[in-house]
Amino acid sequence: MTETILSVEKLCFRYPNQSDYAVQNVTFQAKRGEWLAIVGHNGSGKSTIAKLLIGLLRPESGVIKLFHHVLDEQTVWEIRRRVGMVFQNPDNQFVGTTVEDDVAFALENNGVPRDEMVKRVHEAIRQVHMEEFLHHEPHHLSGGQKQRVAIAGILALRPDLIILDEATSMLDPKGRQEVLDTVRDLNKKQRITVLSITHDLEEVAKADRVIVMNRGEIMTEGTPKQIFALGTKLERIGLDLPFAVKIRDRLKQCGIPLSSSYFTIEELVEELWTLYSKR
Amino acid sequence: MDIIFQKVEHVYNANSPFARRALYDVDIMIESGSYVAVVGHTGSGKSTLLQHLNGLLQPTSGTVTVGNQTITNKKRQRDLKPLRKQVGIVFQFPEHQLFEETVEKDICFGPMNFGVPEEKAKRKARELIKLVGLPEDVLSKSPFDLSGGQMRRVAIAGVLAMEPDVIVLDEPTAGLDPRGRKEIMEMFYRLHREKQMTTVLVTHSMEDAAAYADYMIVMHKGTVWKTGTPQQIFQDSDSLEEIGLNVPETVRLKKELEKKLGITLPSPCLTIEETVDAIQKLFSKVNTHDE
Repeated sequence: MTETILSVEKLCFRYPNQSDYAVQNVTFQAKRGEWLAIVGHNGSGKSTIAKLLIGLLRPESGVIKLFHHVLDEQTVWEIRRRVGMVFQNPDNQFVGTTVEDDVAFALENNGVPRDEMVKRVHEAIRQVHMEEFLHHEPHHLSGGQKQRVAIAGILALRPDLIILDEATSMLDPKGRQEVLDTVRDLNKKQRITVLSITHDLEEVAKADRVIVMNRGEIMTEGTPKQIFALGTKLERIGLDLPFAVKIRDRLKQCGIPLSSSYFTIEELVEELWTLYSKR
Repeated sequence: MDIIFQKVEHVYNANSPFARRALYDVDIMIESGSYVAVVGHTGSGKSTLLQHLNGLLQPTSGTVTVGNQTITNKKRQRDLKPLRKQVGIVFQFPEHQLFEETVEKDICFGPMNFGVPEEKAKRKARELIKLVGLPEDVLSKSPFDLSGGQMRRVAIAGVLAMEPDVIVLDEPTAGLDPRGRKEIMEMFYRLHREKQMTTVLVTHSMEDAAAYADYMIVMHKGTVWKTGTPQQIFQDSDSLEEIGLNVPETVRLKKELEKKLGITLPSPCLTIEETVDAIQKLFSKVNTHDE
């Protein structure tokens, strides 16, 4: 039985002076080593959940348990030590004057011995391919480079849970792929749990499980395959479908008899080839 | 108002131990009324380039000509003021620049700074708020009570209020959900078509570049790597990949399909519609052949 390291029960939250709930009755769990994606339109409550999870916001009601501890004023510090969060805009989380210092910041704060720290900092920077920039000022880097430094800062901490809050949205497709591969690697090898909050379909497709949020509530959950099978229902709540699914649905409308079970370009090409050679 | 770059170089922190050359040998021309996409890997110099378009940065050598104004490293900052009105930049996360008590005041801030009377600025604000797809009653609200997507629209309205001839968009849809992304991109495209506004889009999305731009500038390691129509740029997908860029998914599908089926699809397959059309024709051709 895999250990449940995150459990959220009947979580409710409203921002001050708002009558509508930003998060309503949200219940879910994450197991060790799992990659869980939360998707939803802007304002669906995804980022609010992330902020509630690390105690930046306090729920109106409901219980959050991380690593078997109920999140409260006493446990929040210990819990934050084990959770790494990467935000959408890295400018908001830089403190160091060089890339190297910035990545080391949290380790210094946590009292990691110097030798160990140097090793981990360099390793983390290498993992995000920023070793050329060790002594550069983070603020003078490009948007995507900044995001990689922010991610290195989290990797160096070796957390048990990584929360990516739209963390790859500023990267170009290749940079995004590299960062996702890095996180995926940590997720598999070190069984770090990943919670990714995203609109990016590549990121959704990588997840083991997907939760779809709509207006503060969980609309549905399932594997990426099950979620993409929802089709126009996803488009109706402001989300998108993978490219191959869009093409497939249009081709089906034109009378080309394709199946409905896939969502990658490779699978689409494979099926078109089968049909083509049969004719 | 054409924009011409000649041998533009930009070095950050020049003459200091931290000197870093972000841009060199940049020769480009952006024609008046065109829609140009600037693409490139992170750190390729895209953002540095765009800041030269309205004189936020001055070239450390070379010249930037915007309409009848020439910017060199000698130009005084004060003389760049008219340029700021003609070229509007929508930065990444423009909502971070909102600061006024109400949406109306925020949109009016730019024009009033340039001497537009209050009444006229307010009329403009009412017109623009609808243009960016928000209800008029938003005008009296605090911008900070709006959602992220709404705030971004208000910030865009603030840039449009200056009535620029050229609008520069730096990843304007980052962080928006797919529907919001589409709405914003369509809005800028409409402005471009209806008002012949010269549009410069800095983007990672090859899909957006393919869908909207007439012309593309590909940046790599601080200089121009290639320019051309999207059709020309995406033809050579292998060398694009070498510099860390992708092709649109439509192009990838076309390429994979051609390889697997050993056929050639008709050329422009940049949009979903063109792609579906080409595949459909392929299958109907097989049909008639059999019969």
